[in-house]
Amino acid sequence: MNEEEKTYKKLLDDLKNLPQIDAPKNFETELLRKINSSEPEQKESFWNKLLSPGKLAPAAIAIASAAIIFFVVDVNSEEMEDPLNIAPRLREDLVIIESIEELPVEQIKKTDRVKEEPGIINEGLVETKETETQVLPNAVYEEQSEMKSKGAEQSLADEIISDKSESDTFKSDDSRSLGGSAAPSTVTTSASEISKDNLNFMQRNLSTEEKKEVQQLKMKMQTEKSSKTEQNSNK
Amino acid sequence: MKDRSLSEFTDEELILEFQSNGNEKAFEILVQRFKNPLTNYVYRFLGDYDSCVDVVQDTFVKVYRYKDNYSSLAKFSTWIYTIAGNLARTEYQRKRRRNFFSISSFGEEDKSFDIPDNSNRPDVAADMNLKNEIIQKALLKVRDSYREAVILRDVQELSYEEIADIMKIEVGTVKSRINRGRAELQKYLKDIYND
Repeated sequence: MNEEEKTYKKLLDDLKNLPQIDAPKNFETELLRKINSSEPEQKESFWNKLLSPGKLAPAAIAIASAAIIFFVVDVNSEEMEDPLNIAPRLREDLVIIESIEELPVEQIKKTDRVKEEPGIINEGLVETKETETQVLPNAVYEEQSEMKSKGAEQSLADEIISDKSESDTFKSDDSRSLGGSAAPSTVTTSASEISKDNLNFMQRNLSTEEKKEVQQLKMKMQTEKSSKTEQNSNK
Repeated sequence: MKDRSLSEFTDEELILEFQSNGNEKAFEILVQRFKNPLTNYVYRFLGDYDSCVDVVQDTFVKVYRYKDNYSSLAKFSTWIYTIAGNLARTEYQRKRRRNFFSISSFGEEDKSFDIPDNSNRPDVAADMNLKNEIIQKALLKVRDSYREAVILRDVQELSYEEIADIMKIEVGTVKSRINRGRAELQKYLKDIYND
């Protein structure tokens, strides 16, 4: 007997002296009944187990879904484009011209038509007008002095320039008539030509009463000014 | 004459006789030899006589059906104790789950319940004094793996090697489990042994 058994001597004695539990008297008959009543379990072969519908159906579904994912959803098809290496997209509606002679005649006619029919709002025409304003400035303003010295043909160009300057100055009016309370569209102009209209200030339409008030104030100011000047001259 | 000779057979010879010749008399002798030790072992593990008898009967049904699975390399007692132990463990876990759900379904979850011991059958508990009852209850509190080892060693009086074969663990592990199981049991029975 080792030391561990000595420490638990009492416990071990009690465990050994626990009363023996015997099987019931009808144990054998009950056992025979159980053996005879329960059918022997037949061992299924590996292939039967594998091809049973319980396992075949989920396997088929899994394979089908895997095939669909592989063929239909090609995950690697997307080629990642480096945005820094992409060439800038060319706008087809912009025509870059170096001199005024290269300007197509159709566009000039269109601008004329716009001038003739200012009341008609045609988006296409307005667009061409805008594109002109976007394209022309670089070419036109740089060679403005050259154009003045040219002859009759250049008068047409002058007209376009004046038209352009008009469009610049009345841009806000145009935009107002087109729709809106939108801010004036961006126009590329030189620093000297920046007018109040081109800035993104809130532009407000005065009502007739307000206009009258402004007129009265102006008149008042003028009368005050004139009276002051008269007083000064008298002195 | 043949029966007498069969009763003289060892356990291994009997199961081989049953395997090879299908001699059911050999099986009956095995049932006679092992029904009481197995009943005692399973009862000490489960603490419920009815369940214990069912488990032992199921053990013999399995031996009857799967006699061909027995390998002559192992001792028959080891094989049958392994089957009984596995079935007893399964039954014990099922009972525990059933008790847990039946108690937890009664509302107050925090409240603890004392599960009444139904093992006090008159035929079994007739000669069981109070001390034995307390020991049996304490045994049921010991962790499953420790309890199994303690019962096999201290109640069934099997060798460490046999227990290692039955539980499919190393002899060293068997010893440590027995030691821990005894310590746990001693802790639960401290009121008895302090006197």
